[in-house]
Amino acid sequence: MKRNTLTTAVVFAATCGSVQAAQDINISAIVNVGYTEREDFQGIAGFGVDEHAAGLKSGFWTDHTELAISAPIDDMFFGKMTMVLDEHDGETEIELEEAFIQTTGLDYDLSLRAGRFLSNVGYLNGKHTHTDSFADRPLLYRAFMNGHYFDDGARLSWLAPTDVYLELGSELFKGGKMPAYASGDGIGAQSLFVKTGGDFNHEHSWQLGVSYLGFDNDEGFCSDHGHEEEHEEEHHEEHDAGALEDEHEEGFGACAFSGEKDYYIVDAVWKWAPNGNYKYQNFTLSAEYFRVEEKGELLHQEEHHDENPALLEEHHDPIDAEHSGFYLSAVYQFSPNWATGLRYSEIDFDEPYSHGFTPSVSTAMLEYRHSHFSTVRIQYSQDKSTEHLSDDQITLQFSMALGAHGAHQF
Amino acid sequence: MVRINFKQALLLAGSLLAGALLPAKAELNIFACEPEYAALAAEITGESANIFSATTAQQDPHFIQARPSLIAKMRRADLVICAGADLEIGWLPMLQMKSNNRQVQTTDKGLFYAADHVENLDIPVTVDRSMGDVHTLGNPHVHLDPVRVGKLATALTAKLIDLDAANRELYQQNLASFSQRWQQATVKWQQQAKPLAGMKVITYHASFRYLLDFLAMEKVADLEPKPGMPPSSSHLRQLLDIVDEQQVQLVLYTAYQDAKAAKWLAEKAGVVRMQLPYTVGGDQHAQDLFSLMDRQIAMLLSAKRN
Repeated sequence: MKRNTLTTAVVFAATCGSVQAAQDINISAIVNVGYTEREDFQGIAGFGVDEHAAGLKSGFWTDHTELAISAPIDDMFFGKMTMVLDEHDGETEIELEEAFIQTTGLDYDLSLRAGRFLSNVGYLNGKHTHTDSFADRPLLYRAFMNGHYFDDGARLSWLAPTDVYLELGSELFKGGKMPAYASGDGIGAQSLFVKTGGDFNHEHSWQLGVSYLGFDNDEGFCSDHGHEEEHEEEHHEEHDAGALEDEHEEGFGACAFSGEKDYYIVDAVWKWAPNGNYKYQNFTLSAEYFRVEEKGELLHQEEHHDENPALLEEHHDPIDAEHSGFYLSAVYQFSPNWATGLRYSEIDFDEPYSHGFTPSVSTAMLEYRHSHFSTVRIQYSQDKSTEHLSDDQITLQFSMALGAHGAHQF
Repeated sequence: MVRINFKQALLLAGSLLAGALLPAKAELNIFACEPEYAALAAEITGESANIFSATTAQQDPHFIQARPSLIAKMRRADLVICAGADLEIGWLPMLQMKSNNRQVQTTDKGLFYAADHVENLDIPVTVDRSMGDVHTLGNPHVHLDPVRVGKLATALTAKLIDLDAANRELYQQNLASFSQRWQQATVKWQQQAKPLAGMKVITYHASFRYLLDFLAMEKVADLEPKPGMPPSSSHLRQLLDIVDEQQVQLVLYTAYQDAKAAKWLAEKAGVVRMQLPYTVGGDQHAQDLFSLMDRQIAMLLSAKRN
C-alpha cells in the first residue's frame, strides 16, 4: 500500500515533469544506500532515545532515500514535499518529512512557512541529511534531536534591513514528532532563533546562530511508546543474562520523561575557499553547542527481586536536570573529486542518565565525488555511546542525486 | 502568548532599524550575479545606481555558496541580473527564497536573465546526466559575444525603464552612447580578429564558447571529459593525440579553472597555454566590457604570433 503511494507519486512527478511546466517543477530523488559494520545500538548513556538515535544500521541499509518535489506555486508561494524511506523494526515505511508552503516576499521583510518542515534551530537541523559531510548525524543530534526535528507547524521569520545578514524567527509546532510528544491538539513545541553572518573578505565567510527550542512533553502521548517498552524488556533480559547489577547499565525509555524540556543552542560556521572559488578547494569548520534542561518527572521501572521477579513496578520520580553537549566538525575538500573530514561530538549528561560517564563519538571520513551528483564515502567512527563499549564502526555510503539540481544552504 | 509578544517586538525592532539604516536616497539597488552584468548595468545606469557583483572573475559561477552576505544583498535588490540558463541554479534559488524579496522572484519584475534575451548556442536535443552537467537551455556564457552584448544592453535598458521610469531619459541616453561606442568597437574587434579565424584551440570548459564563435576560432575539445567533470588523465592522453592530429595551437583556461591540466597538455604537446580573463576583473587590464574584449583579443593575437 505504502509502496503504491510512492509509485503513484513518482509517476505523477514524472508526468508533471514532462509537460511544459518542466522548467518550474523540480523533482529530485536522493538514493542513499550503504553498508555499516558495527555492534548493535545500546543507547546513549542512559538517556531516553529510540532507534532513530542509533545512527547507521548494521549491515546493508537504504535509509533516508528520498523523493522531493518542489516548485513555485505562484509569485507569492513556494511549495515543497519530501518523502523519505525509513526502516522501523525491519519494515520499510514511507514518511512524509516535508510538506510545506512558504511565502516568497511578504511585506516588511517577513516570511511565513506552514505545514510540515524541519525546524530552523541550530545549523544542521534545517539542512537535509544528504547535504551533510558525514554518513550520519553527530551524537549530539542523535541524542537530542532524534537525528533531525521536523513537525507540523508554522514559522514566521524576519530578515532585518541591514547590510549584515540578520534573521529572526519563531516557530510553533504541534509537538507530534520526536523528540516532541505533546498532549492534545495544541502547541507542543516552540522555537526562537537569531541567525547572522557575513564575509570577512572575498574568501572567508561566517555564520552564527542562537536558538531556543522548547517542548511540553507528556509520556502518555508518545507515539513510540509501544516499541520502547519492548526495548526496555530486551534491556532487562540482557541484564539478567549478564548478571550485571550495575546501575550505569540502566537505560530510560524514549518516552520516560514528562514535563518541560528546553534547548538552548549556539552554532557557528566558518567557510574558506581560495579566492572564494569553491570548486577546487574549500574548508568548512562548524560547531554547535546544546544546553538541555529537563523539568518534570521521569517514569522509572524497577524490578523487585526479593518479591516476584517478573513484576515491574512503575515510579514517577521528579527530575530537574541539565545536560550539555557539542560537536565540532572540520571538512576539507582538496580537489573537485575528493574531500575529507573529522568530527567529534560528546554529551555531558546529568543524573540519572549518567553517573559521570560522558558519551562521545569520534568520526573520520573520506569521500569521492565523481560528479556534483554522486558521492561515495567511507567513514570510520569510534563510538563510545555507552560506558562499557567502544565500538569501531565502518561505513561505506553511496549518496546519489537524481533529477533536479537543488540549491544548497550555506 | 509568546508568539504575539515576539511579533510585536519584531515589528517594533524592524521599524526602528528600517528608519535608522535605510538610505534616504531612492537609488536603484542592482544585484549582479557576475561582474560582466555589473559592468553592463554600470554602462546603462551611469552613476545613478548601487551596483553589487555577487562573484568575481576568480570564482566559478557554477559553484557559489548561498552565503549570508549575499542573502542580505539580495534582500535590498530592486533588480537582479544573472546569466540564467541554469548557470546559477546551485545558489540563486536559495538566495531568492531566503531574501524574502518579492521583487526579484520572477522575470516579469526585477529579475533579468541574459540568456532569455539572446539566442543560446548548444541547446541539447536530449539531456541526461551521463552527458555531464549540461544546461538544457544551452550555453549560458553569453557575455563574450559582442553582438549578443549589444542586444543585452537594449533589453536591460528596457527592464531598467520598466522598474524606474523616472530615469528613462538617462537610461536611453546612456544606452545610445554605449551602443554607438560598442558598435564601433565591435567593428574594430572584427578587424583585429581576422588573423584568428580558423585557429584551433582546446579549452577547459565551454566558458569561451561565444568568444570563439565571434572570433571564428575553432574549439577542438575541452580539457573536461564532460561538462563539469574535472580533467582525467585518460582524457588528457586522448587530447595529446588530438593536438597532433588537428594541429591545435592553443590551450585556453581562465582564472577560476585549475591550471594543472592545461600546463600538462601544453608541455607534453608543445603548444601555448593561456589563462584568458573570463570577465571584467579577470586581470588588471580587463576593467570594463570594452577593455575585457580588447585584452582577450590582444592576448589571443600574441599567442597566434608565437
